[in-house]
Amino acid sequence: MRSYVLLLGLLTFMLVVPGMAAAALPVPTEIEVIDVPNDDGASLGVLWFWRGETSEDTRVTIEIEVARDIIDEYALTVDEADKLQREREALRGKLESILPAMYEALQAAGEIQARLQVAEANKDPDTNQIRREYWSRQREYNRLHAQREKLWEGFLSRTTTHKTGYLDRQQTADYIVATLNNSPWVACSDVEDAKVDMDGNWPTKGEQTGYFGQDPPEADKVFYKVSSFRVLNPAKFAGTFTDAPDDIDYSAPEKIQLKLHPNTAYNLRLVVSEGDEQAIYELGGGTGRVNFFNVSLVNNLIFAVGFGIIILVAIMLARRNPNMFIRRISGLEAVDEAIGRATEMGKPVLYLCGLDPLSTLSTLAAINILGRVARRIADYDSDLVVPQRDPVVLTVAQEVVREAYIDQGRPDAYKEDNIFFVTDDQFSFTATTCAIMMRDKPAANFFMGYYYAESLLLAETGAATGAIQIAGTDALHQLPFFITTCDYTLIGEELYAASAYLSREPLLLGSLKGQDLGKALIMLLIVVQSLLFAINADWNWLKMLVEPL
Amino acid sequence: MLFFKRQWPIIIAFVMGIVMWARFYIPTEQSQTLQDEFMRWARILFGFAAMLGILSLLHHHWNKIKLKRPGFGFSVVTLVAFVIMALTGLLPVSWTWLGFADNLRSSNGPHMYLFEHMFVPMQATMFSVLAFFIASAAFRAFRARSIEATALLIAGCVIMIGRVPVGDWLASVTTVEMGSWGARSLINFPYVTDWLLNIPNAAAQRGIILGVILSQIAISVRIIFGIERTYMGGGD
Repeated sequence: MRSYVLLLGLLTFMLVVPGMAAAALPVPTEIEVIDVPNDDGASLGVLWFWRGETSEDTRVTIEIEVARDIIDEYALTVDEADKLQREREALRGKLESILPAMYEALQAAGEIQARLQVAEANKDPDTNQIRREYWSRQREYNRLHAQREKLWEGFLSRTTTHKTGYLDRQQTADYIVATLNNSPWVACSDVEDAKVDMDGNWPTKGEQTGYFGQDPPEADKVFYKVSSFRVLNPAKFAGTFTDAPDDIDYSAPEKIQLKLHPNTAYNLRLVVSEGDEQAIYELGGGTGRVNFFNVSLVNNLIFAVGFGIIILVAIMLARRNPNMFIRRISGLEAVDEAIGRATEMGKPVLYLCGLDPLSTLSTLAAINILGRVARRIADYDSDLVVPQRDPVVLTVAQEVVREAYIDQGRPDAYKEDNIFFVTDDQFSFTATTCAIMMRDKPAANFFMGYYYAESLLLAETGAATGAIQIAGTDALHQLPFFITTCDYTLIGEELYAASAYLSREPLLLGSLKGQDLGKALIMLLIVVQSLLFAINADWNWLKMLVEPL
Repeated sequence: MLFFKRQWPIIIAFVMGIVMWARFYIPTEQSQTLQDEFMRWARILFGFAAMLGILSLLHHHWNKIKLKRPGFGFSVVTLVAFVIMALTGLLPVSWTWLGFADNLRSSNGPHMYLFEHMFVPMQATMFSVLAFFIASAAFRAFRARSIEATALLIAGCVIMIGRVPVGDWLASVTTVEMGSWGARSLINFPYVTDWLLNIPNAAAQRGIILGVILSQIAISVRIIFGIERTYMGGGD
């Protein structure tokens, strides 16, 4: 009887305990493998809901089946393989005469260096002799190393076509074969041992507004994107892998990442684990398709096109009615005053275009203003000094100022030497510019464009020299410094309006009107949304409309 | 020739402006490759422009020395420093006779030695001066000569106290039980600081950012359609 009870107990244990454990492991349900919308087509999305509670120990890995036909993409032809073999043998022959001497020199240099350190610490009279010995060995090593590099580069150049080396292709093919022979299922690099974030949440579809837009259906579904998988070094499977570089053969990393290709079907599976327990779910196949338009940016496109049309219409209206009202910007009204003062005092005008390259719009705006200011200066016959940090901006600034002087009929007054390159280092540039302010005492300083920590150094030095200072920047963190130390500051959008304001060109002024219309429209939308939100907190459609912008 | 000087750059600006704008909405790999390729071109262009920059630097300082303009001694220092740094970095000769390492990349090599022991400390010095300049600028800004300056002074003081330990201490020692409202601090500088930064300050900053972004779109439209041409030289 006792034996029956024991047997029954044993059976119960065998049946119930694993069942309990299996029940404890959360189960992914409603699994989908999708083509990720709005991406470049080289990725797949995997989505699911959890049934059962996940814990901090729950791990998820998405595995991909390595298809045998992907080897064909990398495998060398017979001719290519022959050539590679010949080149490798030739390289090996040449390196074998160099490498032993190179390593010997390196080892000797290391040993002498250790002796040198001891000699230096003891102030040994032979220190100089040891140092000479050390550098002699080090030079020997450098020479042999350079020879090795040259041979290696020659080898690579002879075995590389269309940016892909034979060696890389063969290595990848070898890795794929070795990985396949071990197991066709390999972990996707993007989702390997994935777990909950610090707040205990899984990444969801609803968070990926760039792919799915705002509030998509089933927003709580767990979402992972896979775009690459890894294949492993054959030596890794043989258990002989070391990460030491091989001087004769090609370098052999532990793994190589391979990207998923668009329009290619891949089989996936999901591995859920908690400690030693593991469950595998076959997901079937999925194909990533190339997307030629990012649908999640539709609102951005509508806004950009709409705003562009508003500006173009405003410019056309300005053509019909050139006498339009533009509010007074005191900083720009003071430009004439500043240049006039410089002329009266016989002092130069200093103009800076900021520290950013020409690809930054604020630098372009600063260059535009420079053109207008240079015309006035040419009229007043004053001197304009423009130190530059970026050589590309320098060449453009020289051209802009030269043309401004020619347009005003004063090509003789243009001095190319006054628009010069200083350095591309931030504080060296600042030091030089401050020195120019202190030595030449310009009567007016213009700081236009984008600035960083040097803004206060420049403006405070200028203030100490008593110059009229006009700054214009869209660098939010530097604005307080300029406002404090400059006589006039163009804040944000005023910098971009300055060129139009100074030229009084109807077409340019029209674009300012268009800009104001766009701003009024946005303000209206903000007010409407605020009212709607105040009435009913669920009416946040405007927020949803503009959020991915 | 006038076509290549006037119209051709505008055509290039228009075509490239539209292409790069459209590229933003196209997520394909080719689209990304196109952008990468243009970035490479920009780097090549920068390489050539860097040579022009060096020539400009040498020309400027050489002229200053030749004409013995005021402060030409500084130009002598600049040119000497330029030559020394160039020679120590470029010449494949041994500098061990001066006690330097033979490897130019080593921190004991002459080039890196000069960089680390002269250039870096001078750069740090220049940056450190900023602390004193902030003090003098703050003094100027905080003089309560108008209502705005007084408001700035008060806001500045509140934020300073709210960001140092004494602010927390004041908040804790003035905490009292207020019935159903629970414990409340009577002098809570950290709370006021957060409110100032998160509400009025953030609102003003967002207003500026909005204006800047709209202006950037406007200037882009002006440049792409050739309405703004000052940056090409030659004005309107």
